[in-house]
Amino acid sequence: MPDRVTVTLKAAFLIRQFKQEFGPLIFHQSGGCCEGTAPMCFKQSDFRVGAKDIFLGTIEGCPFYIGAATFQYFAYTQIIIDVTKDGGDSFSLEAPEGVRFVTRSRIFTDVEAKELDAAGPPPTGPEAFASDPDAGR
Amino acid sequence: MATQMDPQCSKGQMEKILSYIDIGKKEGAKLATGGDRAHLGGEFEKGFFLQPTVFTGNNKMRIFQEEIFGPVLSVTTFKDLDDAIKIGNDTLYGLGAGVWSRNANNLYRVGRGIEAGRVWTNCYHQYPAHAAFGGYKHSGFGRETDKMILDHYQQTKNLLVSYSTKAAGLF
Repeated sequence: MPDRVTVTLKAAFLIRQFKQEFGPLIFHQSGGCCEGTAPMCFKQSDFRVGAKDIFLGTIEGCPFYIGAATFQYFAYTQIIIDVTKDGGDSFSLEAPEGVRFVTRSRIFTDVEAKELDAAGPPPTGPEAFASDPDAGR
Repeated sequence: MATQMDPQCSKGQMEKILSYIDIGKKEGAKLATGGDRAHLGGEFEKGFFLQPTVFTGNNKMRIFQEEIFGPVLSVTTFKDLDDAIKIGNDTLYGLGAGVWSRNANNLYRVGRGIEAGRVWTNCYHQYPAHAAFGGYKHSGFGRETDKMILDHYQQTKNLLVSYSTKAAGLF
């Protein structure tokens, strides 16, 4: 089954650096007005996962969640987390560094889409990550 | 085509808009015009300008469903008025909507039928200070401005006074 979320080398490098500096991190591709549909990076202790938030997988060992309503439109999109310079306009953890995580997207192929459908809906809530093999990595 | 749009406020925002243009193309929306950075040359060359962009496509596409916050318009067709209202309401959000018509009946029916906090009717993007503003659905809670909102900035206090001259017993 294809990964629902993945990460570019540049972004992976930054995440590793942040993990050393801040400890365990979490990402949330949230829905909502304005900046909402953007990847947000927080310290795990600063963000409470909702029971309905959908767990898409991990990037560099960090859980990646998405709001349930937003997921309806992302169900057949692979999220690719990248990083760009000159950000700094966000509540996300990386903003003070003058960079910004961005979501790039790839539409799943028909074969991948069938595999994902067969696997059923992804798990929800904080327990979904707690039981993931990447938890605590 | 000349644009009246200023540059984007940050490179991050420009990148985000470009990523939506990219996903729009990948989802099969048809690019009618624009779709890239605008290179204005000279001192503006490095500015975060984007070409005004118009897509035609289907309302289920992400470029129709998410708020892009840039000069990108997604256009689709409808069969009749009910269909137009149904498509207009098939979204997570509901801050503002707009309707244009010479038919007053249509204007009112659409304005009432659309689930949005403001429906600009034969106008668009106007913000008079006294008009209640805020969104339905995932666009927010409550309203700002308008007289009724003054209540939200006040406390309600309840002085519960006993007029009894006898001892209150247990208390």
